[in-house]
Amino acid sequence: MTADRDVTGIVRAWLEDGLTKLPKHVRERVLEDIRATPQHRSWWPMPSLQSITSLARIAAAVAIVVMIALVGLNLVPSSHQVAGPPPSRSPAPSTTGLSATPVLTPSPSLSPSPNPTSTTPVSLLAPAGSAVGNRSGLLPAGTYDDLGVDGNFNVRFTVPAGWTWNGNSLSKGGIGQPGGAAIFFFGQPEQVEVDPCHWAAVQASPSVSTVANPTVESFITALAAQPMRNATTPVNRPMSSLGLAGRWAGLAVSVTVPSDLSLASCDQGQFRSWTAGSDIRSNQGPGQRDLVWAVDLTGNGVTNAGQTLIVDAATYPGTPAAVAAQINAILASMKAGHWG
Amino acid sequence: MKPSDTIDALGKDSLDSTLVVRAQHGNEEAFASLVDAIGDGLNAVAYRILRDPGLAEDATQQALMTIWRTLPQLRDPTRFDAWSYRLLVHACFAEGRRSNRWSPNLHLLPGDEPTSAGGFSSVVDRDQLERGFRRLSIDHRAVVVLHHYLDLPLDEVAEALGVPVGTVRSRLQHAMRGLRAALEADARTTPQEAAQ
Repeated sequence: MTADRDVTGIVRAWLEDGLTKLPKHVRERVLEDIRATPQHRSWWPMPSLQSITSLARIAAAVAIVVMIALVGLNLVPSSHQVAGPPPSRSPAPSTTGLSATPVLTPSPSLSPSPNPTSTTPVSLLAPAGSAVGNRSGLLPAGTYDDLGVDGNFNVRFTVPAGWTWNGNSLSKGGIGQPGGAAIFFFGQPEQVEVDPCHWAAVQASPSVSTVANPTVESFITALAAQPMRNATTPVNRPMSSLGLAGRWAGLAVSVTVPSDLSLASCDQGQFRSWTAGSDIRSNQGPGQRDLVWAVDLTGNGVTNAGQTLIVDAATYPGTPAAVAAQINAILASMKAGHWG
Repeated sequence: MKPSDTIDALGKDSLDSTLVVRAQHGNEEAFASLVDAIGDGLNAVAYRILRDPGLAEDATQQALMTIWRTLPQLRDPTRFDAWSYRLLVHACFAEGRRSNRWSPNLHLLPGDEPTSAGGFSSVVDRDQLERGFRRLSIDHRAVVVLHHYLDLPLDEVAEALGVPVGTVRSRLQHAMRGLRAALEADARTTPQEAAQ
């Protein structure tokens, strides 16, 4: 009887049969096509060749620790920094509960940048070839360039004292902490979850399609359509352009994580919003509010089709109104450009 | 040669990470070397999931282009293998949907080919498996191929597909039940067994 046969063995033997070689014409076509296909650059520094050797990895880790300590102690004054008050400690987490969560309202109009024009921005990256890697830790108040890679798009923003940079996000009071706040940066999104809590179940269902490779508009629309999000109406919100005429088109929406949601009830304990490359945007916890700003960096004479920047400003239960106001000021100061 | 003979296991340093990093920085020569290293394996897996050489070529090509475009967004070069198989399975989904518009379903009629006493040497077995496999979703096929062809443990299949291990396990059980049923249908209908 078939039932008594080794079905696994039969299936394995059956799978052994068949072609294994990639046809030469496919290989040639791919290698030809990539010459005309730009890579989607990330908004964080890619691994360098040096960083993947053990020695360099250890050296970089040590150097980063030293750098964090020095920056934290404010012993590394920079001649490029904007003058301002010394760094202050992050405020203690608030225990005021959910009701104190400020509302970040997307605004179609940008307020003037608080960045004095006479100052020179400070790069958040160490000079090329340095083993130090990212500048990280507590940032002195000032204007910074979050450099893209290969001299592609960059984002410039101004932060007040008390904000921390960890290599790809700004935070104050701790990411996901009551009373904290954070601003995350993502590159081109690849997929928006249809159901952020039951994302795995949806992905496993062949009858439901997630939103793949979205444009700015379809990204924001899909995000606003996620269940349990209590989304605001998406609004136009361009980003100022630096060194180029005009502004980058963008859309913004404010979404929330239900305050009574238990993350344990979600697939793998994660409330997932979208994926971008190997990055997964999982929200930190109940009561979180995210102002999500998607900016289309295509055009303006810069030919790099499909470049999208996602800025996600998150506040958590108990985030002080003053910190929320700082977020709005940081967002308003943001400019994207193409400079070396 | 089976891909698992050249690719140790997903997530390990089975590829030269410097090659991945160079390709991340836009080095086309490094990417060509990557294609040479993984192209056969990707195509073999795509063929086994889609059961069509043309669709497999298209899926592999699409996956390789996606790998090139999004490679700078891969944060850990040592996860390149798992990441590339995930992109391949996504490409197979797209090709599978495309092929649903017209799906030839040729199969061998029982009676003309002898069955063996056991094991797997019968053309009828192959045909029944082929039909049983085509009835599975791409999700289920991918689990069977990654586990039984690439010999990946379930946790690495889960990583490659971006789903929980429990989901992989249940998909595998479902798929193997379907394939077993296909073989049992064969057993019920072959003239040799009917005569016994």
